[in-house]
Amino acid sequence: MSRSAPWPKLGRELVAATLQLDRTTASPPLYREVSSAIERLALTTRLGDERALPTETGLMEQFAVRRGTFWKTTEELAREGILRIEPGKGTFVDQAKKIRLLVWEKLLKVAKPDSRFDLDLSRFIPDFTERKKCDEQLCELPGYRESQTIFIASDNSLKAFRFQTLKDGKSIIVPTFGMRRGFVLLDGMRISSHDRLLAATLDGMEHFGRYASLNDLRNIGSVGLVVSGAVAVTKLGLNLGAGDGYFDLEWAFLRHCELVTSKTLIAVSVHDCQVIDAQIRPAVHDAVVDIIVTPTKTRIRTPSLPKPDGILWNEIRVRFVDLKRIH
Amino acid sequence: MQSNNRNQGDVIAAYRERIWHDLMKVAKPDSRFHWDFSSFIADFEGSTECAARVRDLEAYKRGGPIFITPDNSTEALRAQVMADGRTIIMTTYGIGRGFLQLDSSKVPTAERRYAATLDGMDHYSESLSMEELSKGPLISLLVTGGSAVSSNGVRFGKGHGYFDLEWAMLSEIGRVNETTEIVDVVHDCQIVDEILVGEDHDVPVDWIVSPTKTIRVEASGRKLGRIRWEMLEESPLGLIPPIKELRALKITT
Repeated sequence: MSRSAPWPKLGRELVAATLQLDRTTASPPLYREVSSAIERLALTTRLGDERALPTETGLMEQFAVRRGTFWKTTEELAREGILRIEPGKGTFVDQAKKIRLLVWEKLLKVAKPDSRFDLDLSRFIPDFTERKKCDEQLCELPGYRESQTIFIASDNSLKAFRFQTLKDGKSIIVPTFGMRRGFVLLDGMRISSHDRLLAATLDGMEHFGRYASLNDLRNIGSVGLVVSGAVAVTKLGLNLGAGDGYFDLEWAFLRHCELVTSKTLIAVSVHDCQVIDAQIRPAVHDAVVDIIVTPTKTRIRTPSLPKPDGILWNEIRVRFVDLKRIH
Repeated sequence: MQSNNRNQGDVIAAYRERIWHDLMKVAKPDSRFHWDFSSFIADFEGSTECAARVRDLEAYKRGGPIFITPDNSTEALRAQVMADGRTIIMTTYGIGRGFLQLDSSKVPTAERRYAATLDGMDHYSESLSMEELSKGPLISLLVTGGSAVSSNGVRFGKGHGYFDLEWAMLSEIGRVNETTEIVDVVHDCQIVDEILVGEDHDVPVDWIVSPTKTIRVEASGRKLGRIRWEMLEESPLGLIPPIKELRALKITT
């Protein structure tokens, strides 16, 4: 990753094509056209390429725009989180944001709408076609059969799996959406067969489960398996959520309450288009995934990478969770 | 005229704030929006009693399909309507995917409660285009929830105008007429004991039903609705599927 390596020359055809494309729909201001062209440039560069974008002057020349327009453009893209401007170093493409945008585009074709957010994938993790094949594999995972208690994230893609675990008489710990009301404990043995469907949904789970304080969680003993959805996951097991770090925080709470050990397996259930081949190094707070289940296969990674062993208070990125309430 | 509208808006905003404060004590949070009342119409203690009161209304007994908005406060009513073997016409949240028809004969008895939730309804209902929707019989009863309602039937929702638009669309395709009645299901704390002057596009209601009382609004003065195309040009509601479909029809005829 040498700094002097030449940046792939952006073909004039691509610029022309992107600008042309936008002209056909409406005639937005120039900076918007340039903005979408730069966005496309950022998205078409190789994943994991952490070099700076071409210099300001270079880009301005390529897009044939003045400095004012160019600044307005990059500032907007930085606000959206696609570009990261580091004074003195250059302009960089945010890899996580880039992966999300690329995955959302593909995921949209197989995603099922949410009851509130419809297909606004930035707000939730969707259920998807062929998800049933994931659920079958999840039930075959090491640890599933033996576990009395399983942690399952509140993602829509895990609704049917939550139903299955309740049917199998297990207890599940499910965080409320955005963890706003902490964790809910659902006991499959105590929920009657005709209530299980509803109990597996976000709309229904709070009718049939009970809120679990951290103390309640501690008394559960242990969780045999942790299952989550994701916006995207790298082949190395880095789980990219919607960007708020909820899953990492959920893991941290489980670890804090000693429900999981560093050896507890974390599985993620996603569509094949959500598995990304990119080398992004996990940060200290990242709860790295051991098992990736997609409709076509189960990837188990050995040995597993170290996971955070508690709550890293300084690393908490979730802003709206009332931590005191969960405490 | 402009300033009058703004004042009315301030009045409504003031009521909303006060009512949301009281509502916190009896409401249930939404599975996604938590306590953000600007994003959803909350269910509350006593919504089952409201459903039973709606069942006693003459318009309910007339039979035929019932239109119910996708509010949390009308979930108990949807379960009841299914138990009564009736058909529900509804929209998805924010009318994002248009109209749905939920035929209760297609819902197993044990799954009615599930089908009554927003998370469950998709599994049992079928999506209706405006053309398909226009072919059904008259809808004699519409039930909606809301943030607040005045004693003369002027209601306030989340502030996006969803219900006004639903009424307008149903009017345009002839599924409702002057005999159609509208019920607003609210908690007692959402009833504002005052006569408020609605705006032109407001859809006043005929009945206010709370857990403890059923109020008949005399002469609501409601007219059939009309889609105000000029208002939709700048709004995200201009892009919802039923509006796109009606716009296309408008252009071809």
